[in-house]
Amino acid sequence: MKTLFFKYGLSSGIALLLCVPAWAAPDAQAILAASDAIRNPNRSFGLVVTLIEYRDGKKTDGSTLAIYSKADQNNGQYRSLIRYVAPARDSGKLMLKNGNDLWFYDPSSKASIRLSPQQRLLGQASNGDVVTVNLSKDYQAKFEAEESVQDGSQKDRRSYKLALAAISPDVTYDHIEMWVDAKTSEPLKARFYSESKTLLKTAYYRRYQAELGAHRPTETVIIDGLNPNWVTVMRYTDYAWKEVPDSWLQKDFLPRFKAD
Amino acid sequence: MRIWLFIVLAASAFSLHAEDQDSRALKLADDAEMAASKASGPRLFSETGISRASFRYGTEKNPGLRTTLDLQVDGRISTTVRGTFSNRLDMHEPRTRTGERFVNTLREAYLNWQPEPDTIIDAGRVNLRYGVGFGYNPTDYFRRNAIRSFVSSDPDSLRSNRLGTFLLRGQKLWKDGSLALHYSPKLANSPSTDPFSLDTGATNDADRALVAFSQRISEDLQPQWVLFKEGGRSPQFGLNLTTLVGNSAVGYLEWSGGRSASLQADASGQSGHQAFRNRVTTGMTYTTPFKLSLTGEYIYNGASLAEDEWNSLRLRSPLGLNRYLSYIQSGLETPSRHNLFFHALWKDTLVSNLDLAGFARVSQSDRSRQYWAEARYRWEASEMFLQYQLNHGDPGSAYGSISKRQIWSLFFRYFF
Repeated sequence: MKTLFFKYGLSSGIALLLCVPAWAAPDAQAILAASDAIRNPNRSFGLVVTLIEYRDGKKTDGSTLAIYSKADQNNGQYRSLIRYVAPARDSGKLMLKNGNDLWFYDPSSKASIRLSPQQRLLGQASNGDVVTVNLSKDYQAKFEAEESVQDGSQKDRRSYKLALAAISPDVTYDHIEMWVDAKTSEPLKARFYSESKTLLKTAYYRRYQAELGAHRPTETVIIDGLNPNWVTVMRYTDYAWKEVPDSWLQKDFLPRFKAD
Repeated sequence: MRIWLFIVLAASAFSLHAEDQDSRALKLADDAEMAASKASGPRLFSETGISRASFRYGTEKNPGLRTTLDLQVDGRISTTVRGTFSNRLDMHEPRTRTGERFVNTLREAYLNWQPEPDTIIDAGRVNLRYGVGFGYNPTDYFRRNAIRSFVSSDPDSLRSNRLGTFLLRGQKLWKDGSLALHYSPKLANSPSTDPFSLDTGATNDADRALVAFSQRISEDLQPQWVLFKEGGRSPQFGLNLTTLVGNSAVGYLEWSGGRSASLQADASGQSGHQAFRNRVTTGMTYTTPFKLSLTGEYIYNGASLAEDEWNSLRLRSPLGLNRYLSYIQSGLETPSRHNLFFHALWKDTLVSNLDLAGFARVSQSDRSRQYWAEARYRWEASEMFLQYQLNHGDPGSAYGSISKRQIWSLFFRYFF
């Protein structure tokens, strides 16, 4: 009798377990696309970025940039016109970022200088890649774990950890670790690596506010991976929808680009 | 077992250290005072400094002092019209070679009308400059006589501190291409030394027209074709092209070709033998991960003196050679047919905000050289820079003929 009861109970238990659907890992690529949409508006837009650079805890540099950004219809990546507003010595200087077509223009000397992808990694040009970029277009996402992570306000948040591997040859970073909020897909933190697995930078996305129809991060704190004492704080203001014609996103327009 | 325990403890310590660094960074951001600057207003700076030169055939003279006021302003007049004004005033002590204490350079003063986002029309004085080269720009067809106040041999200074040309231009842009038409009329016959002159005779001493066309032909290549015509001279054709070389380098080519007399014939005022002459600047800029950019450039000027022509002129007519060198300088040409140019720029060298720059020009004909170096330190609203220049070569050589053998300069610039 006991044996019969045991066999019946065991069989029922196994059958019950087989009926319960297995827990499915979240769609990592969809989560990544959702986090892209939180960072980037879905049509051409403008904003003002104020940067402060710190070395060993002391402010060493600061600048203000006005950015016009538009997603490429073919590959979804952002192309940007960047105008230096401050400091005064750089006022009026321009940069064009269009994939690997990167140009710098000085209105004083009328010099249009083409920059190499290496120069994208140097200085503030590289920090723009942490901001207006659609990661889901250039990276394959893999779900790694659901875990607790400290966000930019140093609060514990339930998050999905994604591993991003570059699928496009022209990207700045070989692979990225990204933590997004498990409920809202808001990006919380990211680590950017080179092909040699060197940590190049860590970014925290914070100060979420309603801008252009979504709850977006209005501040990014970037910590240099090679020298963690080098910290850049980037704050975004003056979000606005802006028409950016395709004809403007080329080197020949740079001498004509003027402040609003 | 102990080894594994050690590894776990070390990993934990490293992780905690990284978290501490992140916490410190986030605390900096919490305390950051962000005051975003609104749309930039006029850019005005003053520059004051001292130069001391050693002359080749005499003793050192008293130091020279210079004060500069530099203004650039751009503003909207209506929804489709903007105005641009750019001016530089230099005050020299002692006076310049022409006896002037003040030299004013009206660089730009023009109206810009943009009836459509892709259509732009300008009228007025415009500093029009084409060319992707560093040390020499054969497609910079409006460069002759544009420098009123020579303050530095730095190519960037020569490009910035020069007269614009009075012209009318229209530009049409489309995705990955553009077409620009320029017309610059003759307004005067010759340059002026009057300190506050508009100096239309320097920039508008002949009727000139230029057409520039560019179209992207691949992901990496967007060549720019230029056609230039000056009244009484044959048309000149030009090409500007850049390409990426791997991840760290940019290669470039700038070419101009057309029938013309030699520069030596132009300098002496003779009609000269007309031939098809090429001018080429080609080079590469390589940037290291630690912000050092190195440029190497080969420059060929088919209108300049070849080595045998140089030696012949030097022996036959030293006065003619001086006239030629003066003509070369006013036209921003190269003194000899084959030249090399090297440039280095190192930003945030050793300490933040300290930039080091330098270049070397080599005249292949006579191996004479010009060296230039600068250390520049930047504060938030000011900067200080120390410059050194050495002109080295045998007497009668391209750079050995320059009377100032070496020059030291120290300047302070303040942005208002």
